[in-house]
Amino acid sequence: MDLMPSAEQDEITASVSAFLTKELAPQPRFAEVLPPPALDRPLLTRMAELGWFGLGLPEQLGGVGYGLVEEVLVFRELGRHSAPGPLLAMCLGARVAALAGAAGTAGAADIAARIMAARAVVGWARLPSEAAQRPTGDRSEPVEVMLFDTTGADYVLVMGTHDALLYDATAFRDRHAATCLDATVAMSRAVLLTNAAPVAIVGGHESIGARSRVLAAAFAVGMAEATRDLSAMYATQREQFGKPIGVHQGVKHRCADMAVRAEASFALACYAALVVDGLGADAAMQADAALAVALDAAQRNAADTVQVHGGMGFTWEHAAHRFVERTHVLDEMMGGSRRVLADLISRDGPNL
Amino acid sequence: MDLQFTREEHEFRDEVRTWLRAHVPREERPRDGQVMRDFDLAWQRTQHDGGWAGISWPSEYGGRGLSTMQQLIWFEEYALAGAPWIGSCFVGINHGGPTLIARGNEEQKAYHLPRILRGEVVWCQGFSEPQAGSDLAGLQARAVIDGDELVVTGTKIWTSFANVSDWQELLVRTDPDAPKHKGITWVICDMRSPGIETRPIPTMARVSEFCEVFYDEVRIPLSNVVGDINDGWSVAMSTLSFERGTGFMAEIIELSRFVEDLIAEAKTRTGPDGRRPAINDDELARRLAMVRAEAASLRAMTYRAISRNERKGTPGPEASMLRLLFSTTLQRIFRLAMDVLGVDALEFRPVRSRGGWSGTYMRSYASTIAGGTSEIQRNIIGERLLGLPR
Repeated sequence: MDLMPSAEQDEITASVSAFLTKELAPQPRFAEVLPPPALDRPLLTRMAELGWFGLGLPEQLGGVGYGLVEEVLVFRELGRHSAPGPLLAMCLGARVAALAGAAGTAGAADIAARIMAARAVVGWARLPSEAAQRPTGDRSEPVEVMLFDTTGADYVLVMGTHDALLYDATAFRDRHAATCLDATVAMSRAVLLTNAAPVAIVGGHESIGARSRVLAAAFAVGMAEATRDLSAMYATQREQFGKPIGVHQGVKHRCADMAVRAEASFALACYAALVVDGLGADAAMQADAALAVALDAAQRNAADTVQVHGGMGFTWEHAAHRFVERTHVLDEMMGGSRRVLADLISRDGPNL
Repeated sequence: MDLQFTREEHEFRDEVRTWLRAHVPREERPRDGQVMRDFDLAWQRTQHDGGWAGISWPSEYGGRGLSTMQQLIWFEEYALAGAPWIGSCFVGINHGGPTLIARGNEEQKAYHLPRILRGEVVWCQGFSEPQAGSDLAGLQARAVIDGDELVVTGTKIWTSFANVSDWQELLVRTDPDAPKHKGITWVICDMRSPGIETRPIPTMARVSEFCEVFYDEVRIPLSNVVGDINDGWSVAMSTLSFERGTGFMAEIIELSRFVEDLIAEAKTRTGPDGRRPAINDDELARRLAMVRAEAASLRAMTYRAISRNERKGTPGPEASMLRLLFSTTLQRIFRLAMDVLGVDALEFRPVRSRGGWSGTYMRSYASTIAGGTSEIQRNIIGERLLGLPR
């Protein structure tokens, strides 16, 4: 047993970090109401060339053949950079299509290949929790949904409680763009038509739900780490009363708590990834726990970062607000942390 | 990263499980006095006779010489088997013994180590003083060299099990003029020496293991000094990271059990609405879910710390993160237990007794103080891990 990254895994982290530092666009300039962000297709294509959207898929399904834990390392870096775009939807959408294709769904394998090459784009739909819990096909009325990053998307992924469903983007009608709290996220309200049939479905036995929670947890871990680092750096440099503010326990201890949350949530995201990949009996429970802890860490670390930076932390220019905003978006995309906790307590305990 | 144990580790787990199943005492551990001491020593002796004494000690000193990973397996199985808390044997096995191994001379090791392993003696710790708590290096218990003896006068406090101990690891000031870290000596003190008086300190957890110890010109042979005179601070530090690292692995593993036991309680007990089980109360359910998640993260963090340890060989300042999260999570769990149990929580049940939520809740207040307060742990994390200025 080893919960420290190998040299190869460290290499993945370093290369993803270097790529994102170089390639990500600066944040939008300030405006009270910002235009919806455009889809950065060239960036998605370059990520696809690096294999990011098929990283955890077996090679015979067109993927890179790594495990969930390597995907965790990638999503953690994406979170550190609060990277915009439909990255979670692309990664999971490719898996849903590939697994459905392998199970005999016509055309699904082709869709998977197009997603992995970023020739098809996948957005994300968040169903009301009650609708999400109903199994597929048991939908007699149109469902109101919130769409994330579906600008220019060909497909939309729905993570239900039981199944993961990939729809053609045309299944969502009456779209009304909404200004998202996070200016880098395109968001719209829409209706999922009753008669819409998914192009690919993956059942709960494929632990797709657990995978989605572990990857979202990894993104949140990255955010918790980035805000920890921003705060520690600022507390070392910023001087008041003739000394760095990090000398004071009020600031130092806040930073220490951020470090503990980041470490604990990273350790659990890795552990849960290994349990999910190993088909452990407590995989779903560990994935829920990983997401609950990571969302909590990301949220509290972001809030603490605003506080440590004082007035600077409240400005648009500083990155702190982006982490505050993205945490809330991620939380809701995943059905809300209250939903996650409700699932967690309904399951059997861990394998001790 | 992987979760696979090696074939040897699986076989080791089987061996541990089989032995524990056959030897764990069935009776509840007495909580006080001579019977408690007898129980703890008897259990230590049983482990020794079975070849399980000093699992973290090198085999050349009679220990089992287990890797950190094997220690983890031992403690996992120990918790699963419901084996008793180490109690008054803690300091000898986890602190005094390891310090002697690291810094003692051959005579000291030859005399004391086998006695600790065989469960013949109880050790206690004489570090803190009324005026030296978090600022341990500010300790004032005075020791003057007189011939081939040290003559000690002063007071120690928070010494668990002093009233049933044979030996003590004692820090004394041998040079009052040197900078505070430079004038301290680590010495083995015979607790039956004339001039020693121990006084139990009743605590909010209603256990009487806590003591204050008074020294009135207590004479200790110079041959009991471990390391050099005035070099005691470095001797003490040689095992402090151990205490903050794998030394409390057993308690972390126990914590996951507390959470699952509490969830089971919440399913059978009537909740605050007087009708449905407590688990159906939204707020209790959410808090229970969150402590389950936190316990899982603590477990994963322990595995990460052990993996780091296996690579680097020392726990390092990361151990403070584990200690801090452990102690705050423990308090949250027992605070929540009080709400799950409702009015029944008011019926006092002793620490570590069956169904003893209330006593252990009161005990949990100590977890953010003992072994370095949470404030000290946060200083260490801030300064040594995040590089914040002192």
